Amino acid sequence: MQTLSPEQWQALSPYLDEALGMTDEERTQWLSSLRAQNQELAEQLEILFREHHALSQKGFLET
Amino acid sequence: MGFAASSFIGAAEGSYNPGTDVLFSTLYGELHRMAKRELARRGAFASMGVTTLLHEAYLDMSGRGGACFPDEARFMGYAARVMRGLIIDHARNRMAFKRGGEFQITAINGDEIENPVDAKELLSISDSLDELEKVEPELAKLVDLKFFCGFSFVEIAALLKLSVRTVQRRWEKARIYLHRTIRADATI
Repeated sequence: MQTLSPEQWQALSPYLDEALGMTDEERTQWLSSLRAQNQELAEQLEILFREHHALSQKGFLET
Repeated sequence: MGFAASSFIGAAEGSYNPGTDVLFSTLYGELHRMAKRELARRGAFASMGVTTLLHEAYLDMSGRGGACFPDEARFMGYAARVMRGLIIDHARNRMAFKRGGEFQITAINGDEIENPVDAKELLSISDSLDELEKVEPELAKLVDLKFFCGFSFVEIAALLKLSVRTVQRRWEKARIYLHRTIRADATI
């Protein structure tokens, strides 16, 4: 797993803001639509959402 | 959460900036609660007392002459950041002491030693939080309040004048960043 550079994070940040408020179903549709416009961006976000799901499952920072 | 908002009314209008001393006195109860909760949550570091943490936080903050806090949110956010720094320094010192005192282990009461894994994780989270502060300071402040000081989403929303949903969304975003940064460091 590679760390995200500040530039990478800044690029992804507004998309995360938008997508984190969505339901799973809405996000899937949104990603599908985004993939048609920018496949690389959609794939990066998909990876982060998978990580988010995993960290939520294991209760990361929930003490 | 009961803040004495009157101390900040003038400040919000730009006519009065209460100094650290005034804010510390006004918000002492809340700061004490914050310190107590944080130390309870990080029970492994209980060798640092609530009064000591508060006292050191006061010395740190009052030592930075000229600091102005126009509202309670910024003051409490700053106080949370200072307390995290003090707790992390304490954890680092204890870890260093343990390493340096490797051959004197019998002189140490085992009950007083924190779990080294917890301490290491805590330091790692704090380092990643410093990185987050550079790219999204608002997210870092939220993590200080939520993770390091134990504020609830509702309390943070009231403090920062945001909706609970916005706070929750930002919290999830911060978790993504911190998780990625910590795991990336761990694989080096």
